[in-house]
Amino acid sequence: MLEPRLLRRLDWSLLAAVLALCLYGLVMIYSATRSPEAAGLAPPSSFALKQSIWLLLALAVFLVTVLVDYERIARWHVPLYAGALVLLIAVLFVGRAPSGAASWIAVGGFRLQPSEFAKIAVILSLAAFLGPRVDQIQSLRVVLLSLLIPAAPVLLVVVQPDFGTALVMVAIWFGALYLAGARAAHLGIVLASGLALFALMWNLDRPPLDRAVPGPIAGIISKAALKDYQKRRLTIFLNPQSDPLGAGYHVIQSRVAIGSGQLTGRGLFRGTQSRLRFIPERHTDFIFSVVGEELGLLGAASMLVLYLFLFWRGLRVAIRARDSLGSLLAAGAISMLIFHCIVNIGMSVNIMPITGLPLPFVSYGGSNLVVSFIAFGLLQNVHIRRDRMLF
Amino acid sequence: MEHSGCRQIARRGACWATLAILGFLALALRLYQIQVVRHDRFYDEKLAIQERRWSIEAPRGNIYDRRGNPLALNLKLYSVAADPGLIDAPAELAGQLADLLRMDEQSLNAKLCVGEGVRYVPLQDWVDGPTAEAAGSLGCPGLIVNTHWKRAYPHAGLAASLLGFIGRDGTALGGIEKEFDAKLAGADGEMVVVLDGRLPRSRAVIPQRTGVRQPMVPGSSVVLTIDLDIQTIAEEELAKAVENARAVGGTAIVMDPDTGEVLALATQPSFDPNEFWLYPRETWVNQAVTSPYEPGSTFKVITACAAIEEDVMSRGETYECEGTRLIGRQRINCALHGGKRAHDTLDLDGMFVHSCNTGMATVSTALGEDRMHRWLKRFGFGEPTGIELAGESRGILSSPDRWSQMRLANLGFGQGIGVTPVQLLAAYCAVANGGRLVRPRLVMAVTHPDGRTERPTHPEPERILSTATCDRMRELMTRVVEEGTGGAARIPGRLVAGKTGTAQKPTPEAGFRSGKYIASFAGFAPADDPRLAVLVIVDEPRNGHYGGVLAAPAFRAICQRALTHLRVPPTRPEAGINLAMAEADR
Repeated sequence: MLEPRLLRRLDWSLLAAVLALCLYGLVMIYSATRSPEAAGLAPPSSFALKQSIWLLLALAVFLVTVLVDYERIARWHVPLYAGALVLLIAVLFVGRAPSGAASWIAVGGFRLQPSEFAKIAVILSLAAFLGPRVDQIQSLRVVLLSLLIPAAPVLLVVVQPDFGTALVMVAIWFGALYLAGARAAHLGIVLASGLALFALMWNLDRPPLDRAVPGPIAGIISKAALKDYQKRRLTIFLNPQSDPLGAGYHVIQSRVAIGSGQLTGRGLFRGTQSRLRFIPERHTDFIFSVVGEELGLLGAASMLVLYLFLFWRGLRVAIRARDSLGSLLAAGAISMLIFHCIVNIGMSVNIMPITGLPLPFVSYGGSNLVVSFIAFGLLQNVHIRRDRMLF
Repeated sequence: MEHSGCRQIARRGACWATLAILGFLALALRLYQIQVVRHDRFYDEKLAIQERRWSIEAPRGNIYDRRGNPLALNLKLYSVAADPGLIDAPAELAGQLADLLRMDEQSLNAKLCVGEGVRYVPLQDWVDGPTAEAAGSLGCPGLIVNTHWKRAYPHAGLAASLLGFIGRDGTALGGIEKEFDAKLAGADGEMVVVLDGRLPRSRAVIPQRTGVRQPMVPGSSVVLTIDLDIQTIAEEELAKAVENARAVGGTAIVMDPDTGEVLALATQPSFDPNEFWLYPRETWVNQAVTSPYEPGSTFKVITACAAIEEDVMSRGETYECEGTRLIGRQRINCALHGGKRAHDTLDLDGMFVHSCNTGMATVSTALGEDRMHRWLKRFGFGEPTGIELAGESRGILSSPDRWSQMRLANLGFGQGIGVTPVQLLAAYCAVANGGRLVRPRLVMAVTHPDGRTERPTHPEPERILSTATCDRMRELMTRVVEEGTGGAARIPGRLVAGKTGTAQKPTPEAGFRSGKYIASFAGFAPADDPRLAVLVIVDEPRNGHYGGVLAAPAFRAICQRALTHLRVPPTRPEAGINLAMAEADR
């Protein structure tokens, strides 16, 4: 089962693309945390170094994920899913809040983000649930039952509140179900209901809805209602200048940084928006702004090309998988990675709301890096075992 | 998938891929839009976010007289302003500033809280040095202490129309200020403050990147040929003459006849350039260069020079003055007796010394249009002299083919032509210095802030008269003072040469019958070795109108005082003081 020669069947070009993204990310993290005049910040090398250590760890995890047959991994989906839920509940009580949402748990010297690992649990559980039932995928019952899998973690991360991660889980569900062959009409119903629910949450605290429900329930409902600051974060991208120092600050600074990069960029390590620390979270969520400012359209576009390549090869893995479990795993993994990528970059260039999703393989942050490599490991796992007849 | 869905998954995959590729395409297009199409805007926005630029005002160059006395200089003042975006605790700062700036704390606080986007809010203008220093020592990066330079003219109305002044918006208006604005102005510098994106903003200034990006360059100073003492003398004497004559205005110019350097240029009525807005606009004008006037008899010097040079009526030919003369259907009256009294038989010298109008008309008629016009041009009439003052007039000189007989005759005694005072005095200088037409000039040097001194070069003046002509004219002009109409210009112990002038001043309504006059006296002293050429004009006197009476005493006083100031010893051991006043300007 743990056949090292299987490794030879890896999609090496895909691996090369991912490693290229990681190196790209390390350089940009180094650049983003370089702020020579600014005191009180850890030396820039420490961020890049820390991320390198995470990268080594992530590669080890990747290797394990690739070598264990995905069927075996999928068998663990129940304890994994349950563990993820426990962690998500735990984080609500002991979580640390770096920027609003309580999403971290300190473990030793590192900080863990359970919601990241919950995404993997959702991918696995969804594949394990739908794999044997793929011939009933056209039935609304199965579709709705499968919806319960992301529903629980989505609810828990929304409470944190972390809309971005919730959306990722929803995206994983849509990607997997669509590729598995669910009826478009069923997906449409779910989408429409989701939007309606969202609209309801949006308006819960406004008349007439705020008076429509009786007292005791109202208390719970008011917690589900979207807070004003959340609404602002979601809509500010439409007009960031309406609150230039508050909700619109990130977007304005990021857009200006990218725009000023022009075609070829200001030069590596020369981006003033990032060096002067005008871009908040420039080494994590807004790392793409640093790329855009320092390396210009050429640097930004080449990063897009790497992601596009990742998506194309990933999709190929899903299509060529030996069974539906493999297809579903690959579909879930690729959905997650691409959704992250498009939403993160979309946020940086101010065409999507601020959701706080990191850029996979590039943004600083250990949890996300490890989780991205697990998803990538699942993808390669399915790829090397695409042909059962070899064994 | 192993079951029948193989084709299905491929189709779904293709749809899915299309969707994702559209997403990527949208990102790429957006990148293209902000990085290529609109990049300029974002680059500017970036600078606006990261930097604050404040201008450093350059002091204007000073204006000095020839001995280094300042005529225009700058006073250092301060103002305090704020950049609200860099102030974290406006209320606290308002409390600190209220006493310092003597302002109401609440209104101060309101100014400091105007909101983001406003980068500059003036708080208090014109604060003194200690206050500015105290404000600066608060160490708040959002508090801006500016240095300003206020133009000041220490001698107030002295040479005001010559110096010009600075408008309230900082533009140079008139005079040397305007003409030499490019050199005087200097270049403002720029101070840049580079910010760190951290909050709070008050601690966001990066000292290593903050400082003077563009150093300020102070303006160059201009050294004038004006002599403060002589200017003062001219101002005083002109004011006196204008007052005595109850005239509307006047002009007095003192030139060095050898070089053309203007030693004094005074105009009346004057104004205080420190408070120019309190005076009517007419007073700001420098009539000496901008306003042509009919010179009258002072112009006979030019006619006489031309006649001697051209050998017309210059060798004792006589003319019988009948007091009046008919040219065509128009009548010329000899001077101011309305033609009722006649000079007797006069030769050219006599006509000149006794200022005979009909005689000089005969001379100009004998010269003819062409020669007369050529001589006017040689003396520089009809062209600006090139003096360094804005708005110099070229005078009014029409083309000779349009001259009537009457016009030619009139020109002989200075009617029918418009000249500026500096043009006329330059012509007198030529007679005084032996025939060279010097160019009137006001600027001796421009001193740059780096210590370099730039001296304007002047072309060698053209010789327009022979020495013999000049000698004879000097003698004639001396006789005007000694025995003719210019007796009031006599200076004991000195030989003075000059000519009176009394011209009727036409008005748009009444023409030459307006009853308004311009009384003037022009000349030089000492006559045998001229050091000063002086022109005094009294405009529209209401108390008499003869140049010999109204202008000559001012001329005498200016010459006498200025020569003493220049330590020019008297040349004639004459003791008695001849106070004989000219009875008329004939």
